[in-house]
Amino acid sequence: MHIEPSFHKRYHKALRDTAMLKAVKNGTGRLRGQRATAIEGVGADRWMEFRNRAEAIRLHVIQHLDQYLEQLVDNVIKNGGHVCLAKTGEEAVQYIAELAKKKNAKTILKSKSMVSEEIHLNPALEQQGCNVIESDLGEWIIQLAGETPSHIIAPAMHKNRFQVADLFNAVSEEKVSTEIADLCGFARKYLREKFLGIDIGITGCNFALADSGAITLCTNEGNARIISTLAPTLVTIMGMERILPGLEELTVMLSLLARSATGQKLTVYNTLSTGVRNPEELDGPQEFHLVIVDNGRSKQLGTKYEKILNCIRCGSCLNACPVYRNIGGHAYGWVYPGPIGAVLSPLYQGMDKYGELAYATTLCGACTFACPVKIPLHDMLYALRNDKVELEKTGGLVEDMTYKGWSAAFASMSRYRFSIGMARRFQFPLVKAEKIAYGPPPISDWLKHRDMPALPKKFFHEIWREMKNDGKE
Amino acid sequence: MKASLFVTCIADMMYADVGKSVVQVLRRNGVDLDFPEGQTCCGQPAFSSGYYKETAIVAKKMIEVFEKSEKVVIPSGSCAAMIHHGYPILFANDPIWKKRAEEFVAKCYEFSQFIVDILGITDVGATFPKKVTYHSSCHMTRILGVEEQPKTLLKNVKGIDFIELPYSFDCCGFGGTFSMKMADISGAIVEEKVENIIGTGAEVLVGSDLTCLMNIGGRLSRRGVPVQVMHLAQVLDQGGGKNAY
Amino acid sequence: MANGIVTGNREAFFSTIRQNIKTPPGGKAPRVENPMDGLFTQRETTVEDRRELRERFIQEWTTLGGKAFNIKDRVELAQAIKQIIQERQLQKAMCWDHPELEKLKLEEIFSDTQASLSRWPLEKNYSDWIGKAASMEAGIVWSDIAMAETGTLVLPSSSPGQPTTVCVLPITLIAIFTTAQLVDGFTGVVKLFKERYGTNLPTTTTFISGPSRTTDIEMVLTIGVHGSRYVYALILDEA
Repeated sequence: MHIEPSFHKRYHKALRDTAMLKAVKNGTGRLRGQRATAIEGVGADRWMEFRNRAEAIRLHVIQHLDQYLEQLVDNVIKNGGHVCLAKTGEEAVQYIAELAKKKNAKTILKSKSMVSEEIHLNPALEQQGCNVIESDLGEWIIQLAGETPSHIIAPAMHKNRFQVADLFNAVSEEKVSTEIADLCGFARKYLREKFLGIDIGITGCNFALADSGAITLCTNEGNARIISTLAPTLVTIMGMERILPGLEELTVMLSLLARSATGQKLTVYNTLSTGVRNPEELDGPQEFHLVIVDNGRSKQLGTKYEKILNCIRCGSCLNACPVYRNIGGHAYGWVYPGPIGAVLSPLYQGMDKYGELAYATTLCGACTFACPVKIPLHDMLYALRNDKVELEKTGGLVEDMTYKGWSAAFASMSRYRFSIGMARRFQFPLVKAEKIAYGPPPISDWLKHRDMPALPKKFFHEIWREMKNDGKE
Repeated sequence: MKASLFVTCIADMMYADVGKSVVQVLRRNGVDLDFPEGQTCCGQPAFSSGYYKETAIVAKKMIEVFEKSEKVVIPSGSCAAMIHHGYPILFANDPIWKKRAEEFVAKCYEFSQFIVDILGITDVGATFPKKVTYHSSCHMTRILGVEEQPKTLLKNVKGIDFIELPYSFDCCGFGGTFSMKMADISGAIVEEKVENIIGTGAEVLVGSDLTCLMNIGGRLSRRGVPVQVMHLAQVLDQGGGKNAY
Repeated sequence: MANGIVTGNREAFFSTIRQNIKTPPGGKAPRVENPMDGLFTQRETTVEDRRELRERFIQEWTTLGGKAFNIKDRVELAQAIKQIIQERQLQKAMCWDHPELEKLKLEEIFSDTQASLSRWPLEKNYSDWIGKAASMEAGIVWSDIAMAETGTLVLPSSSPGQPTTVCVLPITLIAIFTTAQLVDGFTGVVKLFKERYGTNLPTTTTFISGPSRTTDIEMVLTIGVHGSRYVYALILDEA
C-alpha cells in the first residue's frame, strides 16, 4: 500500500472517503458505547480504583523493567523455550526469517501482533517463499486488501461487508454472499484448512508473566489458541514492555483490557502458555521462540514519555478521539493510529517524519480519560509540541513570529490594549451584520467552515469603567 | 466576599457582554468584585502550541497582577484549567516562581465553580423560560473537574426547559490553532456537535467556555441554524431583578 | 527438559535499560502490594453459596450465548447429553481422559445414542491425531475451575490426557463440572493456582467465556469464527 508522506495529504484523502468514514464512525461509536456500559456495570468509583491499581502495576513494572525481563528470560529458557533479544526490528525479522528457513516452513499462520506490523515481518517472510496467513478475521481482510490495520483492536473497521465480500470472492471457488454470517463462515472454513497444515505459528503477546515465563494471548475468535496448540514451532513476538510480574497482576489487566477494548467482562479466550509441551503431551509446540523487541522502547525509559510504555493496546483512546473518529486510522501513517499513535510515532520513528501528528489533536483530553492505565496522552502531545519548539528551535515560521509577538504584546496591558484596539479599527472591511464570513489568511482557515463574531464597539475593560462609575448600589 | 475578575482576553475583546453579565451576577450574589488592571491573557494559545518560554513571560505577569487578590473568578473553563494544570508545568524547574504559581492556582476558580463551591449558591434567582441545552467543555470538565456546577445552576433557573445534549462531553473541534491548522478536520468535528445540538430541538446553546462557543456559534451561524449561543453568565443574568450597577 | 538458548546480546540489551531507568543492576523491587486486594471478591464459600454462584454463572454464560444445564443426578446428566446430541446432530465426539469424567461413565450414555465418543489420546502420532481431532464435532472437557462473575471456564492442561485440542477444534464444546468448581472470580482462581502450581504453570491454561465471537465486519456480532460456536455448561450439584 502506498503511503503518502504528508499527514496533510493523508487526512484530506481520508476526509473524502465517505464509505470509510461512515464505517469508522459506526465502529468507534459502538465500541465506546459498549465500554461506557461496561464501566457503568462496574461503577465509576470502582473503575477508577481498577485504573489506579493498573497504573501502579504498570509503573512498577516499567521502573523495574530490567529485573522482570531478566526473570522472564530465565524462566522461558528454563521451560525449554528460546529467547531472541532484538534491539531493532531488523534483528527480530532476521531471527524469525532464519528460523523459517531452517524449518523449511511453507505455511505460517499468524495471530494479531501490532509489533509484527511495526517491524514489517510479513514481507520479509513472503520474500523467502513462505505463505504467511493472518488468522484474525480483521487482519485477514486487510491482508487480502493489501492494506495495513486502521484500528488497534478492529483492524478492518474501515471496510464494509460489500468490500469484504469482494475480497473473499477473489480467493473463493464458490460465490460468497454479502451476509456477514456467511462471510464469517467462509473465513472459518478457509482458514481452518490452513491451520491444519501449519508449519510455524506466530503470535503477538498481550502480557508475559515474569515469574512463570508464561505468555498470555487474548482473542475473541479463538485463532491465537489454535495456533499455540497446533503449531509445531511457535514464535511469540512481544514489545519488551508487555510484561507483568505474575498472575495476580494479570487478572487486573485482563479485567481492564476487555472492558476498555470492547466492553466485555473478559475476552472470550485468554490463553496462558508456557511454551514447549512436556514430552508426554501430544499437543502444544515442540519448539518455542520468544522474540523480545526493543525497537525504540528503551529510549523512552527515564524520560517524560516513559508512561507511554504503560499502554496495553486496548484501543479505547482511538474511540474517544474526535480526530480519529473523523479521519480513521490510515491517515496517521504508521502502525499505531489515534492519540497513542500520535505520541508513539514521533517517539519511535522520529519527529522529522511524524512530528505533525503532535498537532493532529484538539487537546481535548478524552484520550487520557479513556486510558485504562492512565497514560497522560494529551499532556504528552503538549510536551511533543514543546520539544519541537525547544529542540528544533522552531515551531514553524508563522508560529514563531506569532507567539514572540504575542508574548511581547500580552505581557503589557497597554501594548495588549493597543493591539486589540488596532484590530477593532481595521476589521471594518470584513464585517457584515456584526460578523465576519470572509477574510485573509490565517483567519480564512477558520472562516472556511464557520463565521467569526466581529469585535464589539466596546471592549470589556471599557465597559468596566462605566459600570464602576455608574456606581454599585 | 471579595473577589477579583480575570475576564480573559477572549471575553475582553470579543464578548464584552459576557463580562458584563459575570459582573452583574456576582454582584447580585453579594460579591465585592474588582478588576485588577494589567490583566491580559492566561497564556493558553502559546502554551498549547509548545511555546512555554513565551507563555511564562505572560504567565508571570498574570501572577503579579493578581498577587493581592483573595480569590480570582474566571468565566472560562479552559483558561482556569490552563492556570491549574499549565502553570505548574511551566514553572516546574523554577522554585521561586513555582511557589508563586501554586499560590495563584490555589485561588483561581471558574465562574460556576466559584458560585456553587465557594459562595454555596445553587440558585442565583434568574428566570429564563426557554428550551436550553448545555455543551460541556473539555478542559473545564476533564482537567478542572468542574462538571455538575454549571448544570446545577442552569437547572435552577426559573422557567428553563433543560435538555441534555447527547455526547455533551465530546470535543467541539476547536482546539486552539487546530481549528486553523487542520481546519477541515475541525470543521468535521464541529459539524457533529452542531448536528447533536439541532437534534435536541433547543432554542439556546449554553456553555462555559467562550472559545468553544465561538466555534460552535460560528458553525451554527454559517449554516444559518437559528439556535442562540450564550455563556452561562448571560443566562444567569436574565430576569434577575434590577441592575446591580 | 533442556534449557533454551538466548540469542542477541543480552548484556547490551539490558545495560541500555538499566542506564535509562537508573537502577543498579541486580536491584530487587518488592511487587506492588496486593494488586487484587479489594478489586475482586475474596471469600470462602459454602455449598449454599456455590449454588448461588451457579445461578450467577448460568446468567453470565447464557448472556454470552452459551447454554447451561443445572443437573441433579445421573438421569438428568444423560438427558442433557442426549438433548445436546439431538440439537447438534452429533455423530462424533471426543473427550478428555480425566478422572472426574471417568466417574460419570459418559461412554454408557453415548452408547444409547447415534453418536460415538472417543477418548483422548485418539492416536499416538501427531499427523494421525490432528486430522482425526479436526473431524470431531464436539469436545467434552472437565472444567477444573469456573468463574461465576464472568461466566468463565478455566481449563488447565494438567496432564497429557487433557489437551487443549479437545476444546480448540470442534465446533461444539461441552464442559462438565460440579458446583464445587465454582469460584466468584479471579481471586479464587489465583488462590487455587498458587496452591496447585506455584509458579510452575501447566503448558496451557485456557479461560473460556462463552462461544467464539467476532465483530470484525461492520462491528456486527457474529458467533463462531475460529473457536466453538455452540458451548454447553453442564453443572452437577456437588451434594
